[in-house]
Amino acid sequence: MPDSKEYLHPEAIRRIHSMELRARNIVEGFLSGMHRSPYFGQSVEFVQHRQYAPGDDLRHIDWKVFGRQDRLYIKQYEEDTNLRCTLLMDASKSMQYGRGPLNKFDYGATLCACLAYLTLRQQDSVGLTVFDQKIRTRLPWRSSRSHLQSIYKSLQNAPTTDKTDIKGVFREINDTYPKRSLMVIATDFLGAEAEALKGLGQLRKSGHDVLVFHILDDDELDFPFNDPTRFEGMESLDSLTCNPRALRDGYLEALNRFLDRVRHTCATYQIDYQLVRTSRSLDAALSSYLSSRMAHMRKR
Amino acid sequence: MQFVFQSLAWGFLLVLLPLLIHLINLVRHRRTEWAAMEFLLESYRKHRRWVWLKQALLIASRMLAVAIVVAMLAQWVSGSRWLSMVSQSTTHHYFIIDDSASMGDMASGGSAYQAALGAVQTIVSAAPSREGNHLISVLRASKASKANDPTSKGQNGSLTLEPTSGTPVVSKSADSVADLLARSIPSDPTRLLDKLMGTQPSAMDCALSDSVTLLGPVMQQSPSEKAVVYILSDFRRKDWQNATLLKQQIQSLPNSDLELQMIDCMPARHENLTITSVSPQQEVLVAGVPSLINITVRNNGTAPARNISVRVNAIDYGDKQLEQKPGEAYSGLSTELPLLLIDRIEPGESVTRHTQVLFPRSGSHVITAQLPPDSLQADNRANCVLDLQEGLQVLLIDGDAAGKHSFYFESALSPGGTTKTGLVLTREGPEYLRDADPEALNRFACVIMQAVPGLDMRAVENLHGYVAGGGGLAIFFGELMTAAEYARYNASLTKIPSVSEVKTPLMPFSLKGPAELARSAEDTAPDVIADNHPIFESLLKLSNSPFQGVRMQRYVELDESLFAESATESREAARTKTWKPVLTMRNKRPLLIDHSVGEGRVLFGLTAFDRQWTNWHLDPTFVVAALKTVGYLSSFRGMETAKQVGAPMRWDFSSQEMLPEIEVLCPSQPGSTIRTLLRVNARPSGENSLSAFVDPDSEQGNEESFRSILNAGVFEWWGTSTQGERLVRNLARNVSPLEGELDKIGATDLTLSLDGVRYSYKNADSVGSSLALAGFANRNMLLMCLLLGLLLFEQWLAWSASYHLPSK
Repeated sequence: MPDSKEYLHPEAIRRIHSMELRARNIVEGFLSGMHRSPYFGQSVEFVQHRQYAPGDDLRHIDWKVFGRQDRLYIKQYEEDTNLRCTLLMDASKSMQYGRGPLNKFDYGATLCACLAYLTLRQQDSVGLTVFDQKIRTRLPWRSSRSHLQSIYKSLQNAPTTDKTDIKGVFREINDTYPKRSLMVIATDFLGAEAEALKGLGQLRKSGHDVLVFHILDDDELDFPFNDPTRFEGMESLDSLTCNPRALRDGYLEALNRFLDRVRHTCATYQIDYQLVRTSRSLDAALSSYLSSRMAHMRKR
Repeated sequence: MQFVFQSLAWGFLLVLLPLLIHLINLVRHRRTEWAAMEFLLESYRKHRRWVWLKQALLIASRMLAVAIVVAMLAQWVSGSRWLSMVSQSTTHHYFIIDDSASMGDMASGGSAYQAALGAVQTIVSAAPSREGNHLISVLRASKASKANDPTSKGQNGSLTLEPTSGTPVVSKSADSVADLLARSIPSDPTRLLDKLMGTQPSAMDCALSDSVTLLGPVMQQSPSEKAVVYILSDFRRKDWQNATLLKQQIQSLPNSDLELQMIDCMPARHENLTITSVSPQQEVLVAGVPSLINITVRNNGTAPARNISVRVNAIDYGDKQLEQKPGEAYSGLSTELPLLLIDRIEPGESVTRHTQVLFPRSGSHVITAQLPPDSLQADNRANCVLDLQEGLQVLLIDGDAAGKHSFYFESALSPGGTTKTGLVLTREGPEYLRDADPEALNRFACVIMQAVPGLDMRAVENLHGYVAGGGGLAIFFGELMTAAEYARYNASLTKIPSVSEVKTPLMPFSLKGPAELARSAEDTAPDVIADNHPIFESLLKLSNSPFQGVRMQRYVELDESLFAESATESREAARTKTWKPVLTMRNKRPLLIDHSVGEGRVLFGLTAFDRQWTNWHLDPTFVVAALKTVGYLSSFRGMETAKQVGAPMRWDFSSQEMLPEIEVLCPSQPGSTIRTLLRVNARPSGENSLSAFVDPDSEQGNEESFRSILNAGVFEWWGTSTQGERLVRNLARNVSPLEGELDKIGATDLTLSLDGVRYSYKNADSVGSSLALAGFANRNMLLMCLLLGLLLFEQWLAWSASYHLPSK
């Protein structure tokens, strides 16, 4: 039997062109690899019993059944359906960078499709906003299965040509989604770091729970260039011809300072932050999403 | 810049290769779009200076490494000191060979000089098989010594004193002196050394410091070379005990990378006898009068020498029909005199014997003395020349026109009859001294003044010039002199003539006047006591008190202050005093005073030859004393009997009497009977006067002539008179008696003597076995280390500039 996680690897994902198939494969593969326990439902409507498996929360053991049959069973409940999840996808030019199987935008779009599939599978409602300098696509919250197609289509057709201007975008999103929701943002924060971090604060002040997927390519994180290279800015007109090895240490220092600033800001606003490499599988991102979703549900 | 392989110098173009590769790499860059541009630009702004600097250093170090490799391959042989560190090293071997007479010592079979040449050959032969370039310079001490001799004549802009004027000129360089100068050593150096191997030790006593002096400018011209100085000598104590000058010269050599090697060519001291002098006694030397020749032999060994026989020959040059005989030792008629026998000479002691010789005719006669052969031949023979005239002119100045006062002197000096003293007496009055031409005065061997009442300044000037030039003057006072006349003496003779260069007066004391000598209570005590002086030497040998019969009644008293001062005068003042009493009276007052003025002497006889003063003139000792006085006073004028080898030789004569063409027959070289004939042309040295001189410098190119001039023996100068007669004049040049002192300096004393100078010391025999010698160390190792260090630096720089790929 093939390992279900192989479906989560970017190399495998790259071979699937349909966003719908991608999302289904990834999510199903992810879920089949998980323990059967925790993320089934948190409402009061009982659905069924299931045999206890190690790792299940002891709070969900049905002790009455244990008393009668001397066997351990877990009680499962119907999940609430009124979770609102808003997916915010950065479609700026810098997201087009990537020398691996997926560039940053492809990786982020796939991640958003998976989250939409996962959310709708649990009968929650999901919305999508694709932005760069301004909002390019905006889909409202829906919980119908047909809404998935609109999301897939929007992600596949999103234009990636302009610079990022998250500050104005977030103000508009605040207006578009007035009710509290779980905001999932997939971006690289390049080009408009300060405005983006300020926009995150605004979302938090508006009562949204925010989950940030900070998507960066391996090249950006490791800077593995050796030969003399002319670097040309994707969102600026700057260019630099240099020996990359001589500048590598300085570059990594500046990058780490940048990552530290983003992490610090997210921690300040109690925003879940996840640094995602485009070469890594998606399970970490999905797990992070589910954790955030549970936290959001507890607050409600 | 010079390279051994000049064509490989084109390889220096390869230094541009690293720069070219760098530029090509910059052009060949790839292009990539980059999202995180802000971080890259931040890094660039922060590090661009360091990055640029490291890149520049990296390229420079690579270019330098290429340059070093090319320089190594092309074998760079010149350039500055620092640049030479990256090229093939050049070692300059400087050989200073002591070729003084003592190096002819054959005690160990071959001569010490041959041992020195053997050591040179060994070292030079080993050079081609060693790394690097090797140059050789060879200086012989005799040539260098002549080059630095202030009395020698300069040729091509060289030496220090011009012979005629004595004015300093420029200094001589090693170019004209060295046997070999900065010559590259070929793979087979035999031919290079051929000429040197044919040389012989000189007869000179030469200082090694002169050779070291000449090395300085040569080293200055090539500061990048490694200099190795070899001093090959016999290390005699007399040369090395006080080597302060040599030490200073070594320390002043400009090359800091200097290595000094002392190579001892003579293993040990041994027995040796030396003739230290052959000279006539200070007496009247004229033809037809027997002359006494003193011959002194010194034992320079460590054990007493016994039964020494000295062969003495007299060579007569009086024959007017004499002809040159180049094939014989002397052109004159040689007569062997009786052997001189010496029973015993203690170590370090000298014994003098005299022999009598008679030359019936005038001429430049020669006396030779020779010891039996021993291992050092050079000091076994010595010569002296007696330039004898038919008669010796003596001028008597008498205060009495009738010659009353000079009667006794005339009787003693020219008794007449069959007795021949060889003296020709001329009596004149005091006015002759005033009116005479100085040249006319110079014809006289000595002047004897008696009872002259006083001298005017003109006469004093003439006399002062005469004595300062080597003449002899005797002054006797007389009963005619009054107190006023003594005062005139004091006023005139104590003054130094303004025209004179000699700042000593004729009379260094004042006369007080006549005084009476009190009668002695003991009749046996002599009135006159002689000091040990050449005049009285023969009399003192006959008797302890030869003046027993001499009585003194009156004498001329000197100023008392002189003696009061002399009692307290310091030792330094006594040393510099120019006069001393040689004959004193019973009351300790001087009777005869010997006073030195310039080259000549003045004798003061403080009495008058009159019955009221003394009876000495009636005593037989007076005749001896009078003859000896004339002999003594005439001995300071001119006659050059012998000098040391290397002393300048010249013959001054009148152009009206002789032709300027002169031929010089030099003494034959050891092992040869043929004498070298040199022809010189006399040059004008004044009005109607010519000077002929032999200059070893002008013969430097001709080794045989140079050696002949610096040989020991008798040099026959043959000239032709304007009447067509052949004339010969001899000059004797002897080996310095110090060359016979074979005592070697010990290693400890040598270290003390050369304190502060780093050197190594070895015997000539061990040179071949210790050829891990100076200058032969391989400098390529240093060069390789330099290159390796540079490459390591380049790698570190490349790593520092992140040019190395990170390890996976």
